Amino acid sequence: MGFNASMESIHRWAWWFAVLCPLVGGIGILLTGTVVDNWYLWAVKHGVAPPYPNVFPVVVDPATLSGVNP
Amino acid sequence: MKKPPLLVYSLLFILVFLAGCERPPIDSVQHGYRGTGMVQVYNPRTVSLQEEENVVPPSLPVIPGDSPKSSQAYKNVLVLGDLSVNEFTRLMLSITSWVSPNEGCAYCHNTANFAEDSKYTKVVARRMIQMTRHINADWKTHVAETGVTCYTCHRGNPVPNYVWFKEPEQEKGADFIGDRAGQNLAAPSVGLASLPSDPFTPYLLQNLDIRVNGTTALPNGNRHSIKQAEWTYSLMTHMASSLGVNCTYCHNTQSFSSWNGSPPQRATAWYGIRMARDLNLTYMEPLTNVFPEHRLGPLGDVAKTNCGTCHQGAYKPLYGQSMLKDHPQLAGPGTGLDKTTLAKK
Repeated sequence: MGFNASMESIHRWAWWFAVLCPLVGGIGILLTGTVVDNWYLWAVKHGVAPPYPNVFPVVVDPATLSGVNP
Repeated sequence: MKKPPLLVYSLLFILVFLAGCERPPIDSVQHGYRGTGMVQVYNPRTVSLQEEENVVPPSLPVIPGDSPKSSQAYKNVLVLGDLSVNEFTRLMLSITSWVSPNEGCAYCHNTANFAEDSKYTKVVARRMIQMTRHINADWKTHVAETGVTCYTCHRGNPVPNYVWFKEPEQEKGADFIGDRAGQNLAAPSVGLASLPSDPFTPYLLQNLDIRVNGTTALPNGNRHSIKQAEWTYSLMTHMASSLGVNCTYCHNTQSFSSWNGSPPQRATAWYGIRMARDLNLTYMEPLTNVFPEHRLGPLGDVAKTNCGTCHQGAYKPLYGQSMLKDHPQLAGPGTGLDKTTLAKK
């Protein structure tokens, strides 16, 4: 089967993959909303999300403007 | 086992697996910073089909010469009375070609007495002319100077092709399951996705929260649920599919909720949502009793607008070609914005 894999080693990988997916996903679900609410802002806060140069003119959120047409 | 059958099986598998895909080549157009995935994806074959549907019809020649005001020349002219008879006639003929090219004048008028309001279509058409003027005068934040005419939505049909009605309430499953929240119906309104099929009632009629993301990194009292996020996603999918664009037409890939670094189209779209809501509340819903039963939806509600009503698959209706410049009579005056809509913002 090439790459030194055997029927058993493939299924050992598959087993741990199957176990770890819900485990890691579950941790993410438990953290979201309890420890972290907005992962993007969290990533900005901890320097994970890089800043990109602005290529568009500055767009202001219309909801924050007063006296604007609804 | 012989080899040919295996080949046949794998080909069959590939065919079934790829049956729902669009064939390459697909064009992509970058419109943001490099490497950030800010691209628009177009299928040139779909776009070329769409181009035929977005051709602006030739406008009628202006009728030369002076003429009296239509309000003096005709009876029961309540909306277009400020037009001269020549302008009035040209506009009426244009509206006929835009809205009821096959049915002709008789679609709205009693041909024995044009001034009479006996046909419901005439009452609706009058209100729609007011609505068009209101959009062009008061919603420049969305339609800019391009503006709209009857043709923007109607395209030669008495009822625009893309309108929406409220959906009948779904059957409730067992108490533990509840109803399906309109999901898993593969509805065309949300691009055949498994999302709630009617995002219009909560957002384009009512004023529920579209923004569900937290505004701070750490929890700070944001009680929006995943279910609410699905409704938001549903509205956004409708917007993308009715404009024929990707999410990145309005949003930056780094954070969809962040306005910093968003394309300017996002602000235009924000006003568009408010415009659709205003038109549904101020113009369409009050007309419910005017329409005969066969024009109403399953719940007896009137046909309403969403993004697709005007856009019809194009990023700008008719690819941004302005028909209003040939018909300045539809540019205004507006009616001003309804105070109740303002308050519901």
